Amino acid sequence: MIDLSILQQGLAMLASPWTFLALSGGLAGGVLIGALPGLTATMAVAVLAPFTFFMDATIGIPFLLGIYKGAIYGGSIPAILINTPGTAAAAATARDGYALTCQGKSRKALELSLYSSVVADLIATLVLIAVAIPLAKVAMKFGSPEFTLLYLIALTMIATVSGNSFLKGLIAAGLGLLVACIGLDPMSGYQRFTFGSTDLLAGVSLIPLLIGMFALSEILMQLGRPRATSGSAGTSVTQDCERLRWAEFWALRPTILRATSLGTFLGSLPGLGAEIACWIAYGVERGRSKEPERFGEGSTEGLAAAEAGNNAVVPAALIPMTVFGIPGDTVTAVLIGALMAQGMMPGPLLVQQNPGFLFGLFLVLLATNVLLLVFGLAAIRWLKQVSSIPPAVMYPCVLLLCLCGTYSVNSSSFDLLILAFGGGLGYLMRCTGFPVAPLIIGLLLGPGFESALRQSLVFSNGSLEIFWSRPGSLILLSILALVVAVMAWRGLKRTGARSWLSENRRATT
Amino acid sequence: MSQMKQWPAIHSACVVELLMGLGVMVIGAVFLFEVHSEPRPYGDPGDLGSAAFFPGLVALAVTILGGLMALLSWRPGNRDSLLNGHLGRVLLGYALMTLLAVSLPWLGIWLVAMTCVPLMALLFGERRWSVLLALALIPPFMVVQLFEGAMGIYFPRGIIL
Repeated sequence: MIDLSILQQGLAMLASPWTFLALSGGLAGGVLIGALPGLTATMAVAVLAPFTFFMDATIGIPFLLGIYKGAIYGGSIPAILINTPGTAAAAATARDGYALTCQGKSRKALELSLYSSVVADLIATLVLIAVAIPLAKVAMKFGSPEFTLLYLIALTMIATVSGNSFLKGLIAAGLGLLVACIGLDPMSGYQRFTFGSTDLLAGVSLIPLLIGMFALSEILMQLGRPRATSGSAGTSVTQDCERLRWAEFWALRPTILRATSLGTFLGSLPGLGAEIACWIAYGVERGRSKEPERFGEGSTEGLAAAEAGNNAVVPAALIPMTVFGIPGDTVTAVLIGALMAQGMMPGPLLVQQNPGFLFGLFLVLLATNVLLLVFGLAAIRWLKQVSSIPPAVMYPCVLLLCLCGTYSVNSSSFDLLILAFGGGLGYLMRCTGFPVAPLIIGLLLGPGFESALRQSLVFSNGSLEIFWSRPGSLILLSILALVVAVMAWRGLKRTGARSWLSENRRATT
Repeated sequence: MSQMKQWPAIHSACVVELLMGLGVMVIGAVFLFEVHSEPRPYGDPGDLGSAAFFPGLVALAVTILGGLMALLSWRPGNRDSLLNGHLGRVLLGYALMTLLAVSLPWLGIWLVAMTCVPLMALLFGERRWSVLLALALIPPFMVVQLFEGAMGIYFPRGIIL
């Protein structure tokens, strides 16, 4: 039976003018940031997360969600207009979007991108609402062995999919778990690896490290690029008046639905972000199309698939976060940090302890779709100029925001050191092919994983049998085995492809 | 001939991979050493209930994986290492960021903000003094006002201002 007080609490959150204002501000800011080439959604959410620590959770979290959704959509605007994806998630959009612009159909491309995004987002939000509570009820029955396996699945998947090398992904996740060990032991309260520093007693601050690893490292990456290409805009094409007709959009519904389903599925798996989903949705649609040769030449199917694929990921990534407390991607990792700073524990406990807030969050997500349509249409008209802000102006301002945002979290100068350390580490990892996401997610999941593993082993007197003696853990163990098998198959396939490639190269030489 | 040309690039990529593998091994070994040092600071690593169990396990795994990476670094194949581009500019930028981050409590927000933005812009290739001057004044004023005026978060004023 539906609890009326939960409904009331949720509706009150949606009806609050402050929530509405925060959501609108976040969405507008997100679209603006997304439209700036080089500023990613993760970077935007990480840099602006400290602002929300001084707000109520009913205002701060909708603000961050607005930024996330807005930035993912906003990335498509420069991708279509100047062939420079605002975010990595809009990389596939640039292929057909810019081709349409070159054909004098930029308005049509922008409208198609907006409508596909809104439809995909709406469907994925409804899926989130439909599955989150039932799945969380199942998760409430989980014991420590199931959670241990769940964390292992998440870490393995993230290590597998977030980079080119599984070994590097595993190392990054291991390093994240090691960093998570710094501070007080979650079970006994023992001080570990603090080396006498009182600043490390509470562990390594998550938000400064996140800002350093995502934002500062991005600034350093941009600094290292040759000037001619660092954020330079392509050929600007004047906007025209050809608009998207309803019949054209209606004809694309199978494409949008397929891409949305794919994006929702991929987004609900830990580690697969919008950056990957857009390419997979694009590739699948190209494979199914009767005119695959038109992809890359201004195909509306390609554009709709890429946009629906990347936008469906946003609500779907919230499924593992709300159900199990496991981040679906790097942005949800930051969102988990923001929720924890608000005193909330994402996962089954959130459903149990704050059902009204969660219901309100679902309503806010639905409202975001309507607002995205409004802001998107405004952005199509006005945001063309924003994409041309030079990096020499943009990145120094971002750096200043990083410094001030980090200091504001705890008013601690030690956090500034963590920021600088995170920036250097993030840059080094990105340059040497180490994925950053497994480290961050390892750091986030570390305490939970350690507690669950130790509790399971203490309970079973050190016997590993506990991980397959219960039905729930047996199912999860089978999933883990499947993930490892898929990963091994992928690795073998890649090695095979590589040797085939080198043989062919040798033959050509 | 083309293989000769590719050699230095492949060789340096191998060296970077090897160094990264060794670096990971060292990090794992430091944590292992700390866990296993006498007297045991966090309890017996073999005891499931002790605070040393999990870090010991993870540190061992990281050390082994680092060793594996170092061993596989000489394997032929594609390399992910991209340590190229303007490394000098990156190092200079990083040194500047670190210096400003460390000196914020002493130099104060205004001096740090008014130095950081134009210096970074300079590193990004901006040479017009009018733009640099505007960057030294407008973003610091706006950001500090946002935090202090709108959000009530106050930054250190430092020893100079």
